[in-house]
Amino acid sequence: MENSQRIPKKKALVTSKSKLKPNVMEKFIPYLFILPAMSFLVIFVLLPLLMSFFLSLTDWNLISSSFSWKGFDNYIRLFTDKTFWQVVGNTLIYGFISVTITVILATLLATMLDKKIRGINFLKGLIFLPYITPMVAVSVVWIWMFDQHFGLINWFLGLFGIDQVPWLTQSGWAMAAIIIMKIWKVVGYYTIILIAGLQNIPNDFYEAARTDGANERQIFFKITLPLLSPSLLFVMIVAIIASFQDFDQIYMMTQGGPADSTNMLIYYLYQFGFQFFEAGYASSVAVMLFITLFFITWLQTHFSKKWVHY
Amino acid sequence: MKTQLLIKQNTILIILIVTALVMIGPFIWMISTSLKAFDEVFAYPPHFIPDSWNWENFNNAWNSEPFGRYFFNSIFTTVVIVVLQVITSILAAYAFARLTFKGKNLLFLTVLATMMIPIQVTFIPNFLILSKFGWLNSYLALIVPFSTNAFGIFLIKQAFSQVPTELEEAAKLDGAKHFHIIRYIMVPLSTAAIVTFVLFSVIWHYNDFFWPLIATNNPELRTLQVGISSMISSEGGAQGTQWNLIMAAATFVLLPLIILFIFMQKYIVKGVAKTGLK
Repeated sequence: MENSQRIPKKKALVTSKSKLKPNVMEKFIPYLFILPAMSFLVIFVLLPLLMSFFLSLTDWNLISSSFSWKGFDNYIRLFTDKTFWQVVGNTLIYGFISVTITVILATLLATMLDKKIRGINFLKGLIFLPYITPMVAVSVVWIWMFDQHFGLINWFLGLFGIDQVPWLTQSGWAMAAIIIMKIWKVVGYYTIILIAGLQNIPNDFYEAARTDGANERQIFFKITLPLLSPSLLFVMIVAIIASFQDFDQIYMMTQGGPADSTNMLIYYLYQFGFQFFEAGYASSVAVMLFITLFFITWLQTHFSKKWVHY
Repeated sequence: MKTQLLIKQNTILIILIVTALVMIGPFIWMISTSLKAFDEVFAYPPHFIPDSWNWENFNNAWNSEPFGRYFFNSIFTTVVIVVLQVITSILAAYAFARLTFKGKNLLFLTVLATMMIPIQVTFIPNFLILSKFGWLNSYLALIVPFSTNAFGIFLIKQAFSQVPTELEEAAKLDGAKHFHIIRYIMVPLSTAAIVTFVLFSVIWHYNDFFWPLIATNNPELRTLQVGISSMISSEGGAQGTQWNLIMAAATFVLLPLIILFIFMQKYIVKGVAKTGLK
């Protein structure tokens, strides 16, 4: 009670003080502090977002200073373009396969790494390391490893009598190669996040289960997984959103090929915007990407409580 | 019972060690290839330890493209971007965490909302904006669009909000101005968050590729990532791709980050664990 009375008094004191010397500048100071950040965000993020919507209704060619109004032509073209649907399909396949495998592996790794064994932090570091390395430079290394004739991977598979796999040069394999590389790159990141998720589970649950005679498998499926499900859902959403934005390794490893089999949304946007100079059409791709990702985020925030145990 | 536990623990340890080897395998293979003579690169079965250690590969790779220039460009743009981001984020974070003003919540929500916009959606319009400014093909194009970072504002604001108000009030009684409070109270008590943000930002912008690829076409302005991509596309003569040189180039492009990671591993891993789940 005493506290709650004290606070309003203090506030009153401050306001009366500022009334005593009415300083107009004082009111503007907070805005000055946010001004640099806000103006950059407005000019280089928010304004461009609005411009994307606008440009998607034009036939701008990226270079000329004039363009004409095209209404919804770009969208009609988009929805009737077979390649676009192939690209959407590729993005979904790539996203769902890579995220599913990544999250399963990350969950297993996290449960194994969430232990107090000597040297475990060192191993954690090694598993995490690929995540911070530049995608472009490591793509170069993976192109070399995926080389059909002299690559390390085909040599290794050869030890088990598997014929040289045409990674990167045949449709299905190229997608597989990109997915494998992606999993390698990010699994450590999600492992670290899931370890944090595991550490949020109160130890009491495990102790109670053990005193009730539960075995390791039961503990994992009946306690760890359900209690980890909020983190798992979060990680999956973040990973899907991130995978929809992948560009670097596609540009480096396959250029979307062979025959558009690894072409994905951002690479498609790049092709039309910056190689074919159809910035209006590419903008309609950008808008669709934005709407899709916005929708996924919205789903997550609105329904996450229904999907996960807590 | 105890032996059972020990067996289990050792199995886990072995699985983890194998996984870790797979994870760093590509790096080991990269270094191994980078030291080989051109003929040995294509040896079958592959040699893991080179017959002769050809250190001159690094020299040749370095000179095959203007890598000195690329290094300068990468480091210069990354440093300037990170400094700008830290300054603008700290200022905004201070206002959002500590000052009261009209529209504060709405403005902060706007900042958070920008985090949801996929950056690639902004690239075509930003290309237009920068060409209107006449900044394409200059360092300005590589730097200015990234002068602030919503994630940084968010992260530092969280840290500033946790600084006890008593400290600030005591300082105010002493007549300290806002910049004093930021400099001597807020920042020193929020170093963990700021260091985390700086590390993330360095990694993001050193690794960045798409924007530098499209915003410049002048070879003088290429960053390392654009440089190495142009190296591999210009490689591949009649006698085969010089993988030893390409791997040498990949090695020195990766090296700064690996050094950073060795020294800052604790901060980076903790930062991911802390900011990952929000």
